[in-house]
Amino acid sequence: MSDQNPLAAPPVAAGALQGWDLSGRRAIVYGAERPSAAAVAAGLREAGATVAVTSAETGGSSVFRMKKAAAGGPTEAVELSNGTNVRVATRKLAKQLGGVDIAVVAPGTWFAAPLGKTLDADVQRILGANLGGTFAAFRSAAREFGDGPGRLIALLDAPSVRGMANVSAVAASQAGVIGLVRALSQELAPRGVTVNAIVQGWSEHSAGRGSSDAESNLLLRFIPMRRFGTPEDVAPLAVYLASPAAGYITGQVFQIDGGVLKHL
Amino acid sequence: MLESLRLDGRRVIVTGAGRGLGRQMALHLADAGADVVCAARTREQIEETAQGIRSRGRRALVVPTDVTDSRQVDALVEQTAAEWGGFEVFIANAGGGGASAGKRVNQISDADWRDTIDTNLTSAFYCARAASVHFYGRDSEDRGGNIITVASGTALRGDARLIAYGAAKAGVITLTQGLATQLARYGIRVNCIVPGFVLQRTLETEEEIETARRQGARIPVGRVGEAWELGPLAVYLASDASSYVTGEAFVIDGGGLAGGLAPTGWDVTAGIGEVAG
Repeated sequence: MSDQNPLAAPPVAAGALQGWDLSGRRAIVYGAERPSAAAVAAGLREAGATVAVTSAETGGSSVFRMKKAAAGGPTEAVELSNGTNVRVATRKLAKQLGGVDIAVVAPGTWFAAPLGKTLDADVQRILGANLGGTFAAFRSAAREFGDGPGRLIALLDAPSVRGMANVSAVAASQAGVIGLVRALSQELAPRGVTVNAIVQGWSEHSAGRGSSDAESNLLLRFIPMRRFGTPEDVAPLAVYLASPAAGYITGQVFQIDGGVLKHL
Repeated sequence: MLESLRLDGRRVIVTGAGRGLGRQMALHLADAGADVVCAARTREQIEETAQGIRSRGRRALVVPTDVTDSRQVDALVEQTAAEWGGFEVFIANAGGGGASAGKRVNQISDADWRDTIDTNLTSAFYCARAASVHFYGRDSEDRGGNIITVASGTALRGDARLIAYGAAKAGVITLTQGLATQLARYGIRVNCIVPGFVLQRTLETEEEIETARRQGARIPVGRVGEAWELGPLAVYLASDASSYVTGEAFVIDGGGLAGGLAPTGWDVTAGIGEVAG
């Protein structure tokens, strides 16, 4: 069929992995101190990609966790909110990797406060880190993309798509990333670059999640699958979206949530 | 992680497996290790798909089925249980434009409407019901089960040529969400694949190729999709790699639904009235 399609999709080798093979592909994972992003980095490596990571923040524990996520690969500790630094770090990593094909960003800087206590400085900090940071990472990475299929992926949290009290700044910043994903999906499609987002529901690393005992935790009973998600739940979809086999998927927001975002 | 994508030993029923998306999904599932029950109305077509599955070293079962008849859907499940001892995944893929396709609202008769709704929405319900009953009745400790429905981009935006089909497919997405919330407690996952423009068969004439080229030019990625591209997605959803995913609709449409405010290639920097390229 491929030869009949006027603009055929790149052929994918049949066999065990059916397109999950990322051999020869090069990825940067931004915000790899975050558990889901670290799991994605590990998944990309397992699928054969060469992976570099950055932290989203430069505190000691963030850098420590980023190093762990790097598994010996190239790293750069850089505040996502600083566009110039993200650009410089991306350039350095791209040189070490010999190019970039895939960028994954986890813009999950968290801030919880009621509206009256969410000050201008807080809004600027959260929008700068999450929305501005994703802009900077996507822009910097896309500059390094070669001719092959490029992939941009954002890892978001539930407030990006559902209202939740006391996290308005985070919700606005991550909903902004969804707008960015949709717009870039159109703008970059002619270059063969796809842009997608993955939204996690409540995970075992979510702030304020409470106990993992469904008897005592009302929140857990609200999740149809009756359990919190794990970072490993996210990795396979990210690897699939990063693969050449997913060239017809762009501008989409996928939810990995145990069904929590699906019911009334 | 990659190990979780394997389907070795899994038994999967695929309806509409005789051609197009269904056949490609069936073959990719077999590539990942699954045995596949091929169901569709036309025996010759599913025999051909079954050949492809067997040539990959997997088992195939051919069960001619009209999914608009609940007795036939139940019989499909019963025969699978009788011959293979059961199954783990049901892909309710069969569907089509039906008798309402291409008609104006005043031209769609009651019978046309029912045909399109039955072919797409009622059939998905019959399949999900039969599969759920089977999953629930299993003896195994981790009862579990996995249902995958197939909708269409027309479920999410109006298409003047496909008003009944779009309504039926929108129903399939909501059915998916409802089933997912109802069945999660039994370990049964339910997800939906939402294809946009995807070539269902090999293009034969110059005219067909030209039409596909024109359609492709309006899609952000610059081409229409190919049926095989549904395969890896079906493998992901059928496998344990998606074990925390339920009730979700996976749009695969080359970016069409994410945009739609302007023709592809429209360049707002080029000034009003000009289209880039």
